[in-house]
Amino acid sequence: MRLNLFTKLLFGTLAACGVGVLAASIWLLAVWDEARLDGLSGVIILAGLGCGLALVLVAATSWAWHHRAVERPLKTLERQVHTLRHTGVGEVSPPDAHALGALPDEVAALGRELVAARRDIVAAMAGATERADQQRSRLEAVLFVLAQGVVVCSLDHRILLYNKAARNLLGQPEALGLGRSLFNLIRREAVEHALEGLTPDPRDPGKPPTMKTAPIVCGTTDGRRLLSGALTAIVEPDRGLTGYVVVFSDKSQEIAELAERDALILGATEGLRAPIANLRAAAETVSAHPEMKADERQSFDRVILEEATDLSKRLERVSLQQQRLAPGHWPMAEVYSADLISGLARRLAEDAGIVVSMVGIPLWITCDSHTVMRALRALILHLHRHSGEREFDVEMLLGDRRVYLDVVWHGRPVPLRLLDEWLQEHLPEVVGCETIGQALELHGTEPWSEERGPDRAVLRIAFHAPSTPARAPREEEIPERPEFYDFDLAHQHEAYAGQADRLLSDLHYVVFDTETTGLNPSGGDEIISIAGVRIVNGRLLSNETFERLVNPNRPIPASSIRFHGITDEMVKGRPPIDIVLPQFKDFVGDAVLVAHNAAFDMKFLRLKEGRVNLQFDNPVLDTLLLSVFLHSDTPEHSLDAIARRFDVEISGRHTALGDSLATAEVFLRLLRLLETRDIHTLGQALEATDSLVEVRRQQARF
Amino acid sequence: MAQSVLIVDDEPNIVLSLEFILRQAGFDVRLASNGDEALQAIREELPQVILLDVMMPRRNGYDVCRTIRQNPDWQGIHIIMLTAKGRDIEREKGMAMGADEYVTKPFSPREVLERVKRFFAGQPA
Repeated sequence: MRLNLFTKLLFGTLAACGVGVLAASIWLLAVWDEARLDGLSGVIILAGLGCGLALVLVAATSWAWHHRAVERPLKTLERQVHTLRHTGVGEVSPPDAHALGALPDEVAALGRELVAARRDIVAAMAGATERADQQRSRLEAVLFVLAQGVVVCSLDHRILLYNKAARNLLGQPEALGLGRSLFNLIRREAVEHALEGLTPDPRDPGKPPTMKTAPIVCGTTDGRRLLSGALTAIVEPDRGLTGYVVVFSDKSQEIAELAERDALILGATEGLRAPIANLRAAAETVSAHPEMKADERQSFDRVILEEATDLSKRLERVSLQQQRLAPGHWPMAEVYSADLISGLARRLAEDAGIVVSMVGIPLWITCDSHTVMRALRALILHLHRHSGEREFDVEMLLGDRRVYLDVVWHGRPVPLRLLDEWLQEHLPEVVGCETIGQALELHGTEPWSEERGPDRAVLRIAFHAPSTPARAPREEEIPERPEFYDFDLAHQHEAYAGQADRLLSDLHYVVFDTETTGLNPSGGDEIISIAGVRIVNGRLLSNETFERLVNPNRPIPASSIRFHGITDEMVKGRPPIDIVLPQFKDFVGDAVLVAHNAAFDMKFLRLKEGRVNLQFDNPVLDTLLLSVFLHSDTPEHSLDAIARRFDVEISGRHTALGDSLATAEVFLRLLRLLETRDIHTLGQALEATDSLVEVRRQQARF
Repeated sequence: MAQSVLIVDDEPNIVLSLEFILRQAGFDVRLASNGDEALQAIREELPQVILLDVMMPRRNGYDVCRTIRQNPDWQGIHIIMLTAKGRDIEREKGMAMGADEYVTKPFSPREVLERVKRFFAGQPA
């Protein structure tokens, strides 16, 4: 029964009793005469009157007090708790006068704890979500970077997750997508067979399957690749098998090479039995029968000659095959020379205070980087002790089938005998080879030393170039930016009167390139990437580069993405041009700026000058115009064409840094050609190219 | 001046054939069986052509070749490397050390004779 009803009943009854007694007393008083009641009765009646009155009074005051001290506070408490529970805010404040004892304070405390607990839950959830996000980012990073393909599928073979390597290895990108069936890409038999071994036996569900991971070899549905790897079941504690993960790599090349290697060995052993038999038989017979007649002898001689020549030819074939397969068995990877050399430079700087500068465009080589780094370090230490030099340049050059790593220093070449001694030196910390020579032999190479110019020497080590380019070149021909002419750029030489006499060979250059949202500098297009590389004393310092992505504060048109590969996502958190341009200016300093079709890039830079309160007043040289000046007989002056002419290898084309490096290499060669055309100073170079601007503009009209 | 050829090789079996065929063709042939002997022979009398093997003990053919090229008095000598080192890297090294020609074993002695004759006839091989 509810409290207020009960209290109402209680006090009501009490009051009713009082009223009843009162009424009875009054009635008795009224009928006293008739009832001839005596004095005692009179007292009783009086008492009754008094009692009744008292009862009513007590009931009334009790009820009033109860209402004020219990009922109303309870109601307030009820309302406040209700509010707190349902809105999460509010406080429980006990009223001043109440008879509820400690209850209101306790409830208030409970209320505060509830609010605090809820806050903690929200914070904990946010923390947990953040950690989960972090873990997911890490996992994504791991998956992204794995050379092996990873695909996670649901039980019904729908793809839940895959990484970049998987996309490359599986081919058929149009069939690959989340939620789509794995069997659009790889053949089902191998996967189903592997799963069978991992699924719990339906006849005996309690028994766990014997294997968690099964090896798998399967072909892609387009028949182009053979993939080899492992399939692992995803088993959740209460739900059993919910999906699986496949990790795989491309084995087709490896398997083909193994087969070839086997054939090679067989051919070099069993395949030689017949020719050697013929040769030996003839030689032995001739030797044992000196009395042989002349014409018989002639037949035998012919056999000996034929078989010997045949054996010779077989040897050449086998040798060629062996050279081609040679790097096979040792764990080699495609290594970017910049990474290798910067690691080497650090070690040598720490160990012996030797300064190694990276020169030229970095290239990819096939090697075991740990072994090579150790060997190079040992050799450079020897060079240092032998020559007394502390500074070495390391340059990568591309040959026909080889990539040369040249260590250059001021001095004389190393005598070969000494070099051979160094190669015999034991190489610690490298498993599988004893000596420096063996470490290099592993890479199918042996080093030598020769002169490089009047008083410089080189130690040359030739590596195998990667058989498959690590960065696949884009197959389509990406068109060049159209030539852009800014008449303001011409006649610059008047402004640089002071510098006009400086020798080209003395100047510092920064060769740079920008990527933009489009081809219209004054029409709202913005810079999204800017990169530069420094040339000092005719050397391209490839470890002094500038490279920044820039937030253009406008959307990047989808049509331009195929030229530069930069998406809105990639520039999202990046600083805007207001921040990057001053940084670039710092990098440039007062060097001469060089770019291909420089008018285009300079226009973008100049348009932003006002905003960032900077001035790019450096002299500017344009490799496009220099090429036109030097090779006026050909119409081909795109960066690609010029690079081809000079045999400059470009990797990472259409990134600002890649293009800067390519332009820099091209520029170095153009500089040398300029000298032969009697152009030695900056002023002369600028004059030569200025006149071309107008001509070119006219030509472009047609 | 007599047309003199110096054969530098430590394998008698190949020297047998080379010496015979060159003498038959009328050249003045001398022999050396290692690098030091070769340099000594050159100092005694400058040959015009040297048939140089690479794999020799103590001083190998690369070393001899480079030593010859470093001597300004010996610049005109035509060096033909004849060697069992057949890999492309070894050929490149040989040419970098200053060899004029590089022939890998096994070879036809007639081919070597042709190369020597061509040099003496004034045409580069």
